[in-house]
Formats: sequence, C-alpha cells, structure tokens
Amino acid sequence: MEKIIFSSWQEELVDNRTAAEQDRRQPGNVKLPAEFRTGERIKAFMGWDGIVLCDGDVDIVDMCARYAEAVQSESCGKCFPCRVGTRLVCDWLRKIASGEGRAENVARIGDLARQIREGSKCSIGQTGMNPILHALKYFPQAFTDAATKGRKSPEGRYRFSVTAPCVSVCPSSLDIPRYVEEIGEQRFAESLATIRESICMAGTLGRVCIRPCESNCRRANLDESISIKNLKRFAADYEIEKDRHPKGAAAKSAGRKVAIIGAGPAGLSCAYTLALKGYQPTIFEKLPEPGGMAAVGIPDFRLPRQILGREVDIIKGAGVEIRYGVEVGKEITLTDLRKDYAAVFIGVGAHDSMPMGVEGEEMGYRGFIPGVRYLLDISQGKDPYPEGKKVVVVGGGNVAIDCVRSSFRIGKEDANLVYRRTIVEMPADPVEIHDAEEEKVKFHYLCNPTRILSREGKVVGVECIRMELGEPDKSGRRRPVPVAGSEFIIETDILIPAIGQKVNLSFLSEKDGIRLTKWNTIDADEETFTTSQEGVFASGDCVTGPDVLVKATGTGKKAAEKIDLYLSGGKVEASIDEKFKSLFSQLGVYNKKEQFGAIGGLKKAHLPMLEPETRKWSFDEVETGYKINEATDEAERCLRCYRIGMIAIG
Amino acid sequence: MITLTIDGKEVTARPGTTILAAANEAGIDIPTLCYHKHLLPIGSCRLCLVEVEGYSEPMTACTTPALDGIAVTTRSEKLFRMRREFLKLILVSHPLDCPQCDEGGECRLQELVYEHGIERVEYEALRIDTKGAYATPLIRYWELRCVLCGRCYRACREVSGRSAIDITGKGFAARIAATNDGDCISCGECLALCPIGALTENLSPVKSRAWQSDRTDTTCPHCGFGCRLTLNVCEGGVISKIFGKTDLPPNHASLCVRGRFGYDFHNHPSRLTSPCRTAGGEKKTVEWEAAVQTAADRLQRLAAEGKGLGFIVSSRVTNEELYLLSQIAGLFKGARVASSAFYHTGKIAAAFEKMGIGFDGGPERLSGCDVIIVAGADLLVNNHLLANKVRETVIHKGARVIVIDPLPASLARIADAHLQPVPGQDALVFNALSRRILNEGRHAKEVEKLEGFAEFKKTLLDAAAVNSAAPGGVDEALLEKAGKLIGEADRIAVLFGSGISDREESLTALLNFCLLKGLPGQGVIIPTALQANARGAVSILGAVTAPEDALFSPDTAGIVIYEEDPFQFLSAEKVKDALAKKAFVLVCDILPTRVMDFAHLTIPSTTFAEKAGTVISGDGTLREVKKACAGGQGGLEFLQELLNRLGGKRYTTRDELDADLKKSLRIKSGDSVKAKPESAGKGGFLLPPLSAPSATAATRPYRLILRDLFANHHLAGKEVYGKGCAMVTKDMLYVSPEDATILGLADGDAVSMESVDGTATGTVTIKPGIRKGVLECLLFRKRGEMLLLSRKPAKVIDVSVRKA
Repeated sequence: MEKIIFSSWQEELVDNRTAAEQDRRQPGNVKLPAEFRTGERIKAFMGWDGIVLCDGDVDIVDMCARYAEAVQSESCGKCFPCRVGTRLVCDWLRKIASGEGRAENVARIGDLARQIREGSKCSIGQTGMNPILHALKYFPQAFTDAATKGRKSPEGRYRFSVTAPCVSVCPSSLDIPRYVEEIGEQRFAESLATIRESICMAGTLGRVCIRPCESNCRRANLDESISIKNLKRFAADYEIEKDRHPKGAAAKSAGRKVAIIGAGPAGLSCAYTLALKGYQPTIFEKLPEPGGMAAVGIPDFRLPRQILGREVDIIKGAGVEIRYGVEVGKEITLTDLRKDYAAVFIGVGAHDSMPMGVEGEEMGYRGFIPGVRYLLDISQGKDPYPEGKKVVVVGGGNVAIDCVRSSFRIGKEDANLVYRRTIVEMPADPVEIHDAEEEKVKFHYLCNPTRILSREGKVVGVECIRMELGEPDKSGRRRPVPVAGSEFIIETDILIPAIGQKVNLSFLSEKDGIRLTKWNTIDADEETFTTSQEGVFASGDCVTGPDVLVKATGTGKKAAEKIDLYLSGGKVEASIDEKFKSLFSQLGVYNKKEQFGAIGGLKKAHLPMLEPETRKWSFDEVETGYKINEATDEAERCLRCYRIGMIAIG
Repeated sequence: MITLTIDGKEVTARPGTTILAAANEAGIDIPTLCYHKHLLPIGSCRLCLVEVEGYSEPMTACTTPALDGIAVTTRSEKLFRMRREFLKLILVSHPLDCPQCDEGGECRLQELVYEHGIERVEYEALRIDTKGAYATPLIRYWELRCVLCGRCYRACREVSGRSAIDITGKGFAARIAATNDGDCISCGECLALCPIGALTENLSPVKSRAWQSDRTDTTCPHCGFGCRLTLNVCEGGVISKIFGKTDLPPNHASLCVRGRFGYDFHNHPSRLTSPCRTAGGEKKTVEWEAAVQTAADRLQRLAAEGKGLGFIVSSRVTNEELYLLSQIAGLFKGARVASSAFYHTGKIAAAFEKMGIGFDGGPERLSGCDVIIVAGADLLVNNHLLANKVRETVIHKGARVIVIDPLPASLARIADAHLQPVPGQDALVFNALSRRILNEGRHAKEVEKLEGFAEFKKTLLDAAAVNSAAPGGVDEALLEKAGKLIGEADRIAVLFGSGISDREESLTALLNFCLLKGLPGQGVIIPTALQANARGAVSILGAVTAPEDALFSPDTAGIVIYEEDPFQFLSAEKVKDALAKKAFVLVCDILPTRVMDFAHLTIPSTTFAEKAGTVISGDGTLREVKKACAGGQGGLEFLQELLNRLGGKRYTTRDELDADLKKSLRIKSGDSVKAKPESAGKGGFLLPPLSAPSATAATRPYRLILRDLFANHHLAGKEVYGKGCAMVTKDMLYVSPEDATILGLADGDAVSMESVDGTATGTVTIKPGIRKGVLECLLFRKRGEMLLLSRKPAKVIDVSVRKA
C-alpha cells in the first residue's frame, strides 16, 4: 500500500504535503495498491471523485491536461457543455502545461468547468471536471506558476480507463450504459452486438442473471434502478421476434486446437471467444445437451431451452465443435487431451449436492432426491418419482426455489420449502421468492431437518426442529440456533435437499497432476486462470465453487484471452483493463450515499407475467418481455454514469 | 391530473408528462434548441434547464417528469446566465455566417442568440471541415455550421425508420456522417428538423429567404395520402423549396422525397405554353379560342358520324377538372371514361361496395391497433407517410407488424413475421389465416350474421384437406407465428396495395379475412392511395373503365387524354398502334408527353401550384389545392370553355362550378370534412377461390414484379422532368441470392428476359430477402422497355431469365 500525501477523494480532505510527520494521516475512504502492474508504481490517481497523490513529483498541471484530454476523447459528442466545453478546458490546460498559458486561462477553466459539471447530460461531463476543479482549488500555485512564469510542465506517464458503477461490478464486464443507450435510441441490433462483444448468451443472462449491476445502479439514488437484465433480454428477444439472424462471425482459418471440458456457461464462453480469435475449440460434454447448469439446473419456465439452444447455435456457427456424451476421465483423459490439443480449458460445473448431514440421508430411500438431480431429471422430461405427491425441499437458494416451483409443473400439488432462517436472510433472488409465494409454495421458515422418516425403503416424512436467530456469522447473516425439544414432523413422499452444490472432480486422476484447493476445487490463478499444469486453464464453478452464471461467462472469456496469450507466445497476465477493473473495485465506483439534487420520479418498468394459477402447472416462461415502447422508456431512464479514472505511473 | 406551478402560474398536466410539455401546454415558453415534439427527448442543448423548489440542481425540462405539487422556475438570473454560457459554447462550433445562410431569419439558434443578447464569443477552438459526403445529394451538409443537436439522426431513426446518418467520432471532432450506404431514402426529415442552416435543400438553383418569398399551404400532388405542404414561391412563379410547416394531420409536417423534392417539373423549361395543332404532320401554334373551337368541332363531328369517343382522365387532377370532364363526356352517348385510378382504387371501391365495407380508413385509426398487416404494398414508395405512421404505432404503442409480400417491402425490416407468398397466391395465405381464426373460434361473433358467413365457413373448412401445408408457398412456422399474433390481437389494421388489388381473388380473400376479424369496426382497412385524386376520379367519373379498354377499342375514333400518359403503364407498341388509328387525339398536359406525338391538338395545362380546387385523399378527406403562383389559362379553363361550346352548362363564376361539384359529391365545404361518396351497402362474405392459380410455364419460371407502375409522369415520363427524383432514382432489377447462384449472376451483370409478349434487358443487383423465383424491377428510365414484356397491363409478368 502506498503512503498517500494528498487526497481529496469524496470530500474527505487529507493534505500531508506540509504537515509535520506526526500530523500526517491516511484517508479512510481510499486505498491504492502500490503497483499497477509489475514495474509500474502508482504515483497518483485522478478520477470522478477527486485526486489522490502518492508521489510529490507528479506534475499536477500536466496530469490535469492529460485528464482533460481523456475526458474529451471519451465525450460522446451528444451534449454541448461536454463536447465543446471540455475541449476548451483541454486546450487551455495544454497551453498552460506547455508554458504558453496566460493567467486568465486559469480563471476561465474554473468557471467553465463548473458549468460543464452542472450542465452536462451524462457523467462524463458531470464528473470529468471534478479532479480539475479539485486541482485548481488545492494546487492553485502550480497553475499560476505555470501560467505566469511560462514554465513548461514535465510530461509524465499516465494510463486511464473508463468505468461506470454498473460496469465495475459486472463479472462479464458488459458495456451496460452503451447497450442501454442503444435500446433507448432504438438501435436494437447494435445493442445486441454490444452485449455480444462481452458475452455470447444475452438471452440467457437477460433472464437469469443475478444482476449485480442493478444493485449498483445510480438511478436507485434518484428513484429506482434500471431494469438492466430485462433490457438485455429485450435486445436478445428482439432479434428472435423480428426473425433476424446475427451476422455469422465468420470462422477464420483453422487455427490451433483447444480442448474444452464442459459445455456450460464458462466453457461456451471460452470456446466462443477462442473461435472468434481464430482457434479451433472442441468442447467435450458429458450430458447429451449444451448449457451445463443453465440447461439442466435452471427450469424452462425461467429459461426456455430454445433460448439457450439458439445461443449455442450462434456459438457453434462461430466455429465451435461440441461433442456430447463424452465423459472426460472415462472415454478420454485430461492427459490424452493435453497431447492432442495445444491447450485445455476446464469449465465443469458444480453438479453434486451438498449433504445435509442428517440421519437417513445415506440410506438411498425412494423419494430422497438431491436438488440438482431432481432438476436434471425434470429437465430431461422425467418425473423423478411419479408415485410421490407431496414435496419438501430443504434450502433457501435459487436451486431450492426452482425445485419447489418445478414440482407444481410436474403435477405435485403440495410443494413445501423448509429453510432454517427467515425470508430476510434467504439467498435466493427476491423476485423468485415472490413468484414462488404467488404460486402458493408453502414456506416453513426457521426450521431444519434432523431425521428422515421412512417406511419400506420409502420416504414418508422428515423430522424438523425449530430454529431461532442468534448472533451474526461471518457472512453477516444471523446464525440459526436450534430450539431444544421443538422437534416436529412434516409428512412427505419426496424430500429434496438443496442446500448447496459442490464440484465433482473425480474425472481428474492423480496422473493428470492438477493441483486442487482444500475445498476440493481446481487451484487456478485468479487473474491468469492457469493451473498447476502448463497449458491447462480453468474457470467457472470448478474453480470458485458454485457461483453465478454471469461470473462463469466472464471468466470463461477472460480465460480464452489468456489461452490466446499463452498460445501466441505472449506473457500470460491480466490486461490493463482487468487491472483497472480491480483498481476501481478497490476504490468503489458506486457511492450508495450520493444524493441527487434533481427530480427522479420514474419508476422501473416490470415485466408482464403469466397468472400464478395458470403458469404453475406448465413450463411456459413465466415472464413475458417488454414491448418496444416499454423497453425504450426504461432505457431512457439510464443516467449514463461513465466516469474516467487515470493513474500516473512511474 | 396533477397540478404544479410554473413561474408562479398554476398548471395542470397529465401524469407522466415532462415539465417542458406541461409548460408548453400552459403557454409558457422555455428556450429549447434540440427538443422537437416528434422526437423522443434528446437533451443535447441543455438550454431548457429549469429550477425546481427544494432541489439544488437545475434540470432539463425536456427529460424531467412533472410531479404533483412542484414549483418550477423557468426564468431566473442563474438560468439566464447558464443558458448564455451554453449558447456561447454552441457558437464556438458555429460560424456567424448568418448573412449568407439559407436559414437566416428562420434559424432557431439566431433567435436564441438574439434573445440572450450575446454580442461576442470569447472562446474559440479550431474546427476542421472533413468535407464528407452526405447521405443524399438532395441535401447539403454544412459541417462547420452543424452544432450536433442530434435532431437529424434521431429523425432518421425515429420518424423515417432508417439509419442513414449518425454521429461519428468523439468529443469536439464528432460530426454527422452518412453511415449506412444505400439506407437513405432522401425523405428529407433530417433537413426538416434541422433547427439551423446546417442542412440545406440542394435542389433548387434559386434560393430565397422567408421574407423574399410567398408561401402557400396546399396539398401534395403526388400520392393520395394527402400531405399538407407549403410552397415557397419566389419571383416569376418559381418554386424554390417545399416544406411541411403545419403540424396537422395527416402528415404533421413530415414529407417524403416526392413531396419535398418532386416539384421541379413545375419550373421546367419544357412547360407547354400555347395550344398546338398538328395538320399534315406539321405542328402549329394556335390561338386559345381556335383550339377550343377545333376541339368542339372535331368531337361533335365524330359523334355526328356515330363514332365512339373515349376519355382518359388523370387520377391526379382536381375534382373540378374531373367534374367538368364528366360533364363533357356525358354529352356524348356511350363515351368511355377511363382512368388509371381504375387499376387500384377503382377495383377496391367496387369490392368494398360489393362486400359492404365502408371506404373510410384513416391513418389516425392505426394507433389503437395491436397488429398491423401490410400486404402487397411497398409503403415506402407508395405512401411513405403511412409507413411512418405504422412505425410510430410500433415504437410508441408496441404494435406488431406482419408483412405479406414476396419482396422485402419497406416495413419488412420491422416485421415480426414476413410471409412471402408466391406472387399471385396471396389468396391462399389469407384463406389459411381465416381458416385458423375459424378453427380457433377467434372471429368476431357478430360477423356470423353477415350474408354468406355459413357458406364461407363451410367452404373454407371443407377445403382444408386440399390445401398444402405451406399455403401460397409461405413458410409454415412463419404462418403459425402470424396466426398466433392475429389470434391474440384485439384490433387489427390491414394495409394493402396493388400487389393485392391486382388480382380479384387476392382482394376477396383479404377482405373476407378482414370481415372475419370484425374489420373495419374492430380496427381499420387502409388501401394504399397511389395517386393524389384517385378517390376523386372514382367518385366523380363513376364507373371508370380501364384505359386500355378506351384506347385499344376500335370503336373509339376520338380520344381525349387529360393529364394522363398511357405509355406510363401500357405496352408502347399497343399504345402507338391504337393512337395511330384514331381520327382525333386531343391531349391536355403541362409538359410534353409521349401521347402528344400522336395528338391532333394539344392544350397546355397548369400545375398543382397554379390552380385552385379540391382533391379527395385516400382516407376520403376533401383537401384543398391552392393557387400559389400565377399561371396562364390551363386545363380547367379549357374544359369550362369546351363544355360551354359543346352546349353544356356555362359556368361564368367559380362559385357555380363549386356548388354543382359539391352537390355531386354530397359533401359540405371545408377541407377537413370527410367526403363520403361511397356508402357501405349491405354486404358480406364472398366465396374465396381455393386452389392455387396455375403454375407458371416451365419455360418461363420467373415472376417479374414491376414496381412504381403508376408513378407520376410529370416526374419521369417522356423525359425526366423531376431532376430531384432523378438524382436518387435508378432503374433497378433485383434478384435473390439463390437465383443469382443458379443463374450464375453477380452484381452488375446484364440479363435478358423473355415473356410471351416480348423481351427486355436489365442489369441485376443481388438483394437478400427476395423470394426465390421472383425478380423485382423498379421502373424508371427503362419503363418503356419493361412494359413491352406484356401486351396487357400487368404488375406481375412470367419471364425466363438468362445471363446476357
């Protein structure tokens, strides 16, 4: 961590420039890593909320001029204050930095910068002048000296990158404000093309993404966040509805071969990116269909198979081969693959259920079905246990909710969910919980199974114990504590544990030599996705443990880029953008406390849904999409919170 | 309703409106530059900033919703200062070349700068003119004047549904540029919405500013949509520009390429000025009086000899001219009255009458429809503004669109389903859709009472077995999708063009389908309106016949051709042949036409800008054509004199004529009054044809579709008189990529086509989206050659094609 000598970040002023040693302090709201990349020391940071200086020899005038240049280069040109104003500021700063400025320029910069801040349409202009105004305020002498004494400022080395609150938390780094703006401007095909620059599964993520972006949406400070996920779905659906076919990303000349294990989101994303780069990826998939957990772990009423299927078709069209029903470890081993392919990517999912640790779990009773298996069977069109009528699902995540809701859809009329905490702590998506409530799932909160009751090898019930909430645990949620002697029995034919998944890495043999972590996941580097074996890369659930789809697609793509570096003989390392992304996430781009002095007054548009009583008996998709006017209106709410961060390096 | 105060004044507004809309409604002016009510808010100029009590930041009135109870200030010292500063920023990227700018005196920026008392701009930054080409040669882009307000590219997308121009580049270097080669349709919506002089009209060599011109609001002479437009007339009666000024229906100030740029025929040097007689192969100018006398004598002599007379009357002239012509024709027993209005509007009027359907579908009724079907019509060419209305309904109301056309017609790009039947087999598609409606019981229940319903239903359902899985050659999945959309719709709009009216069975099947869905009551039926006054022609002339019937009949010894040019839509060989045999040919027109080569007498006429009268638009509205510049005597005066000379009524004043005309139209005065010459009688379903028309002969497997068959011959007839249209129109022969492969054709290859009646050549362009086996031909200079392919007037011609 670098010692900060000045910071004006988010209004917290720390000025150690002239302070005596004992008075020096460090800001509480900002931390910068000492190095950006190997050999690149961070000397200063300039961004939307102020200036952070770590090195006294940074020339503030030069850095401001370069920052203004960056703002001007990112200005979209769609409003006058930003397009013209920042150009003037940039010109004047350049002049001053080159020793040709005049004192009046300095005064004008301040006036104009304030007008740009107040009058610009989006955050490029609204925030782009902030560090310059801070510099004028806290480093006035530097500007006056440069302007009056004709001193030429020394030229420093800088790097900058653009981010936005929503983008900064997107594991797939989608350019959200851009694709949302394109929808607002009725450029639907362009919007989808923008989405596809980052991910190949717009329709899928547009339905099931857990949307970290929306909980980092600045519009929420004004009224409500933008429905980013639904807009993504709209862009994807528009192409299907209007019967458009994406321009096939022409498969380039046959490049080197890469083997990919698992046709789930990580594997598909990796393969697609590799194909676009001219490689020949082949995916080995154990199941008879693509999609991994997205296909067999998410029921059709949330994610129709034809949506996923269409996206896989696009991926295949780009030049990806998928071999179904091939189980690596049996028919072919990792070691074999390494011989035949230039590189291997492992992207298997977390398909095994975690045990609940209750009596009777290992007995193989009929009617005891782990959640993931239950969903897999249903996804293949089977009723896992036709004799069973009543269902009890244990757990509070999305898989648990999917299990209870799917139960109705295969004709089980009595669907129950047992969760050891309350609705407040439930990790499942609140929207899914709400939908399940509408469909009349019976929720049993604050109870936990203790014993499985059986008769003649079949489940007949489950004994549960009441819980109460105690002290918060390390996840911040209050820990449930059993209430002694409160055991009771729920009669049921089917008991489904859905308290979590784990990765099954039994396909790897010792001979393959892949190092695992103590949580039985693949030990792969967070930034480079390299494993302990050269040429073998891994990402997705098999590295992180069960995680969200959007993370798998994001890391799959990044891993592909690293494989490209590896195969083209480059150094396998994080890109500048990725480095900036982690720098920005350390700083925090979204400020939940930010207050607007303007009127919001526009509520988010919700998707129309099928009626609970009709939808719960069918696998028809529950939510229907936006109409064109609803989508454009929703998109128009976006505040386009782009902002620029710049570092001085040395 | 909500209540707020703006500048101390209490204002009520609908919830969901913006502060700007609420203020405008209340008559409070907030300065704006980029805002335009036809566009979604752009928010680029930042001039409409207002302050709201209790909020620290100024906000743009165009994007901020008006909330109940807020107090808005639109004028304050602070706001004035901010606006002044932003205007100065705008002026950094805008030269003060007002003295030589077309827009001088009408420029929004000029007004704003004046209002804000800006005398000089302290800032400057160098701007470079990249001199890039604009999307159309009809418009000039002044890059250095452009302030990037964004109206133009938004209009291109939002109003016209194109993406011909866009902002390119970033920051100060951003500019407007043509982005999608070939996407521009030269509608000029960008030009119309540009608030300054950054886009100017590039057609007229004569320029005149507002105070140097006379301006007249009138009705467009081209198609029958009936757009209101304003003529800018400068010295000598020269039209120097046309624009849409009045924000009233039907076009709300929008225009298409023909309306905006199709005026230069009026100024053309070849305009006829005096009557002319041909005697012994020699043309001789004659006096007006002598011309009228000659006409009267020759017609009366032929009648006295018991010879038949024919009249071919334009479907673009005014009702007044039509009325006089009908009176003249009425003086001759058995005279045949024909018009090109027969081909489309005439056939539709007859079918509507027979089936009891009211002919009054106006575009304003589109907005309540959730599915819009466009069949056999390229609205972009026929009724561009109707296409805009469809798009508006899609964008603002989320309506779905089904296009039924073998060609990728203009709206196919926003269609949810584009059904591409084999040309001529549309009936089978509509039958299939009707059958689906009946099977699902989704028809309007009240239609069961209509005559013929039971029989119609029985026939259609019984015939199910004989129909193929893909009726009319339409993809089954698409038909299923369309059927589902239609089934679920509450209100449907059906728009159709000459692709349907061309075949009686197609029209019948389409109208049966409409009746079944409860149309026009539960939606609207809108046929395209190809010519400015086709409705007037059909209504005033009564049962018009086809021009070829009047022309080719050997019984017709004398023929009067009034502002029509049969060479435009009939085979030249046949027309020449027929005209050469006539004892007397009288042609009245504004410019030389091909029929004049055979005329014994020619009479100069006046353009739409030189005469006063009325027309009836496609939706049945009576609209005024106003005299905008002085012209000599023309067709109307000639007809008036001739009628008198022939012993008909003598109209000494215009009022007398108007009174008689109104009586015949059964309408009241005023241009917004609906003229309803046709009444919906008792009607019902007609039995549909159930089998596909006979297949084309194996030797001529291609179907050539002729487009723009009824284009105005004043723009491009004997010669191209509309230079503006010529700048953006070309003869095109499109072929599908599949057929191109089969025939071994590449873009630009020459082909020869052979039909039963003749041969023609063309240069092909490959166009994705055309149905296999179909060729699309856009008629322009090669019109005459193409028409030789069929001795009968035809829109679709069976041909063989080979690489030349």
